[in-house]
Amino acid sequence: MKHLFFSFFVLLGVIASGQRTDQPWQLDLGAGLHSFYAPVENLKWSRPELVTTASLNKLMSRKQLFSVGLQLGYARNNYQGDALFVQLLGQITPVIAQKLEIGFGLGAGYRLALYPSPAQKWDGANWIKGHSFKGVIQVPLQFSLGYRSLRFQSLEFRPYAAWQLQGLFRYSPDLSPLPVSAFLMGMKIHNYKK
Amino acid sequence: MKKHLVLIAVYVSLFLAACQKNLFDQPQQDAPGNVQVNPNHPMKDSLQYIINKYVAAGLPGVQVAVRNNDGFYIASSGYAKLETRTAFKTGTPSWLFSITKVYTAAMVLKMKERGLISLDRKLTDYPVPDIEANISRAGEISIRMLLNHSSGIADLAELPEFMVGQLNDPLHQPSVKKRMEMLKGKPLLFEPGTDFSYSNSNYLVLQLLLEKITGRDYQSLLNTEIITPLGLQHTWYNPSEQQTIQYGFPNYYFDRFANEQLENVSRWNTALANASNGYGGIAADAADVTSFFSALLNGQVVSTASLAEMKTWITGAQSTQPDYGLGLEYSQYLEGSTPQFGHEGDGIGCSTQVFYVPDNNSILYINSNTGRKLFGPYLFKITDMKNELCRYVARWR
Repeated sequence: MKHLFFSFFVLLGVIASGQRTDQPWQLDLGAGLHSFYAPVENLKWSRPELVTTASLNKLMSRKQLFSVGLQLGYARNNYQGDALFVQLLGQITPVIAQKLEIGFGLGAGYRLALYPSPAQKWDGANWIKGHSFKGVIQVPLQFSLGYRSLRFQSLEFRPYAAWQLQGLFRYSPDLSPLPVSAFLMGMKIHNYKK
Repeated sequence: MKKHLVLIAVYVSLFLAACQKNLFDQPQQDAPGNVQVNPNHPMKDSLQYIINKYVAAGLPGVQVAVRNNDGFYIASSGYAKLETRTAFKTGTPSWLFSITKVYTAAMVLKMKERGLISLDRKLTDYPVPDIEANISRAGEISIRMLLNHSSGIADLAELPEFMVGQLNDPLHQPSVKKRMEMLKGKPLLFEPGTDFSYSNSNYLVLQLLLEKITGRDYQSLLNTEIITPLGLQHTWYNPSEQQTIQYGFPNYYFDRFANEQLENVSRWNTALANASNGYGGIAADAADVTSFFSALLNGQVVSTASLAEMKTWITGAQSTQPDYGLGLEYSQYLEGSTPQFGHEGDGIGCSTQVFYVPDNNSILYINSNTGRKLFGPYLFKITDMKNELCRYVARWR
């Protein structure tokens, strides 16, 4: 996994270094449902809650085959605590069968995993209010299917559906990596005129 | 730019504060009644000293009770509920979690005495659809193997689907049927009867067998076989959330991120205990737990021959000393002494233990309202405290 992760970023870096720099920046807005789930070990998708994301992607290559984006997200979780995350996501997005865009992405990020209730901490003499979150390393893996593209005036819209699997590391020693799956619907928007 | 950063910081702070609520918090009220203790019990000061030490190290609350030839005594330290700084009372009850297995094993032994079940018969001799459908190689597993955890059946509480399910929906626990279905297709961990591996699944299966052979549910069996005959006033099976409040249960705490910060998980702990059935679903106060154990040792629950069977220890392939009997855990805290035994219990927000020292006829009960289920600092604090208390009582003369 570590090697795959490393190779993916090296590949993206090599490709990006040889690409045209005049490709546009793209705004990517997504929303969907998430749950602690991965398609392994008979885990069950249950009681999903809302997740929203916003990214700024830099498109690369003449056919915009690659992108690297900075993604911000908010995941609601009533029982286990909400989360805010920021992650760098590299994607390969070839177009197949006319206008069907498939995507494969891999990245790394940081998650503020919040407590669902106020945490308390012993300072040696008293119980005091604790920190409200823990920083967790997050490794996202994303598969997507989109339509390229709809044009309106100078804007180009690319609707998509994605499944993002996030592995949470350092959440707790016995629960690492903790899997989170998010099913997202989103829209990528950029201005195609210079 | 600086102004924007300040604004962002304010927004994030407000957001973080707004996200938190006391979702699992439960009201905590005093346990009704007063428990009679010997105020001059000779272990009193030492027990208090030990638990004070661990409360000073960050345990929210601890209750410890001892019953021996000098009478009964309960010591407590810290809080039953941190948020309100409410102290434990002598009658504060708690979930027992796996101490429940001693009660379940005793009931199985009682049924054996009545000829309703044979410990060396196989599971398939007592056909139960949920067992036949979900337990691999049931025809090779005996009742005794369930009782002493040598069946090789995987522990349902350690399955990833169970653990992840706890995070997704902690207040809606899987039914007995669903938990049995989690075992479907799971291979045995070893050849039945050749090793030891502690598994809550064994005692869930035993509950189904008990219910099958008697035609009664676990609650009814517990009432007629143990609670009523022994006159236990504060022992319950699967009390509801509302009842736990009424009976004066403490609140329960959990170190989610293993970073020495605790959150209140009382309702989650109650939901989990309620779904732990014959392997963890009994609750009681300290007086009742020690009374039950005393009665078990005195032949008031099962016969002397059955008690001897319960104390027939098996040793796992990797173990250097015996592990388990029938519903009893083996321990040896003092070299050269008669082995001690009892049982521990662990939930998401609590940790308990009942411990018997034959050499001085002392029964110890420990109740901490913090969990140690996940690896982290509280696992060590609670385990160290239990070990120190057990060692003290084992050495006491």
